[in-house]
Amino acid sequence: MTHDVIRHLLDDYVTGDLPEDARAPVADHVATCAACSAEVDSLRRILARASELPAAIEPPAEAWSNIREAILRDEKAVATPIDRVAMFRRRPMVMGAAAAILVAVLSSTVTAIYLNSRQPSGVTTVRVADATPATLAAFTIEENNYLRTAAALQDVLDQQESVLAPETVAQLKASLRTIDEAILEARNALARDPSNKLLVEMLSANYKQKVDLLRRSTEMTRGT
Amino acid sequence: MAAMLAFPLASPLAAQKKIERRMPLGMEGAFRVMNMVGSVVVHGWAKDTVLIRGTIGPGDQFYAGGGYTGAKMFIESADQRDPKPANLEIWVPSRARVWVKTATANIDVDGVEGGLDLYVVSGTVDVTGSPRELNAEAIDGDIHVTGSPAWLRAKSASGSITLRGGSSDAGISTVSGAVKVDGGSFERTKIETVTGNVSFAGQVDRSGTFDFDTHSGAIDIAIPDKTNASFSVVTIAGSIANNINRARPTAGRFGRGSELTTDAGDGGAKVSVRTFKGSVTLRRTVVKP
Repeated sequence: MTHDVIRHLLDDYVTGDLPEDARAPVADHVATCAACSAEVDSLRRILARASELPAAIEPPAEAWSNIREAILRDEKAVATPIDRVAMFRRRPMVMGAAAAILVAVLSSTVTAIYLNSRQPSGVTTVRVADATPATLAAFTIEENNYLRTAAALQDVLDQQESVLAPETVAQLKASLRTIDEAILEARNALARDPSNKLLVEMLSANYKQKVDLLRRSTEMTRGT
Repeated sequence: MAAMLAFPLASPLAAQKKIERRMPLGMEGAFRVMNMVGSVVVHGWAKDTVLIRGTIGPGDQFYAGGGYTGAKMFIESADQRDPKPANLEIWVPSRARVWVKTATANIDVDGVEGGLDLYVVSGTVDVTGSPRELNAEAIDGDIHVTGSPAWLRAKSASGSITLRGGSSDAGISTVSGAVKVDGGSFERTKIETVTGNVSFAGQVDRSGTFDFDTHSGAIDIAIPDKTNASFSVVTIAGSIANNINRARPTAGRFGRGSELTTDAGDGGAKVSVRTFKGSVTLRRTVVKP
């Protein structure tokens, strides 16, 4: 089996889902391939971290008042979203570490979103990152999350870009530009009209589109 | 999952142009296919067997294996940088859950009543029939569905999405691709684009919820004469044309844009339309018997 084939089997190899007769060739390859070995290590770390996560977290009683205070503090010190992105870009080490953690967290978050989206109608579930914030202050926090998530996913996609056909990369970049333009337009409108909840919802929807497209693209380029 | 991925790598058929393989698979078993380039055609049939026929490039290898509850196949290209097309025709138990992933290969499916998970980067997805669940994702490929999947999720970026049929739970999303939904009956429906135009013509269940969201894409909604629905249409900078009754749009509640709140019939289905600057048209259509 070649590297590209084995690459697609690493998930099963790490989780133990690969049958015994397929494990040996994969193990032999991993022992000699630095990239696959690193991928296996990374997958094992993610699994280890995921296993440490609690099944549910009950927020403490004072959570909402603390969040409110944080929002008010954040509003006073808030930089523009573009400034915050620039700040991250100026600190590649921080960005790299954040990306690694985010990718680990995202894998479970995205899975939760995915599983949530596949619930049939009428089934009530906890919605993950799907509710539109009711206020601009709440949205500012969510916007930070979108920006960080999108930046982390974009980094992953940039690393995997070579596996896509050039014309697909061009189309993908054009689609991301289209979303960015819509975000900018809605953001400017919101700056002029900060009490407009509809604009908050529209902006939020645009961010969701961007994160979803980046997520799908990274998953498709990654293989199975 | 483990059962589905049970994967005794069957003997590779090296350097052969034609392939053919039969494998037992339960009527509700799971089958996974990965073929990066070429085409994948999947037919549902009333046998607890998978039959794979096709042609693969010289030197390419065909792997397939699994058990009665789950099986998997893929093509390994001899030249990973320039993979040759593999054209596959596959028959699966009609109630099976089928997962297909390709890069530039087109996917055609018909007659599968179980679940479908279809992923392409730039190929097209064509589904005919009414699977219980259909999840289709593309980056710049088109997605066409002819039938009425009970549960449908279809996403593309620049590709268009067309549904000729209905669904009790549909979610459709594109960035710039057009969305055209035509002809069936719908309950819970969500369609969103950024710049892609949306055209919806169908019967809306009076207990259903319908959400249409675009940034600049035009939204055209056509409903039959006897529809009972409540419309809430909001734009920031777009226009609203209401041709279903005499209600006229008013100035937006936030001091900009325009809004329209109106009922068709006795009200019922909740239809929400929101766009930043796309035009919105509501109109009547006649459902052909």
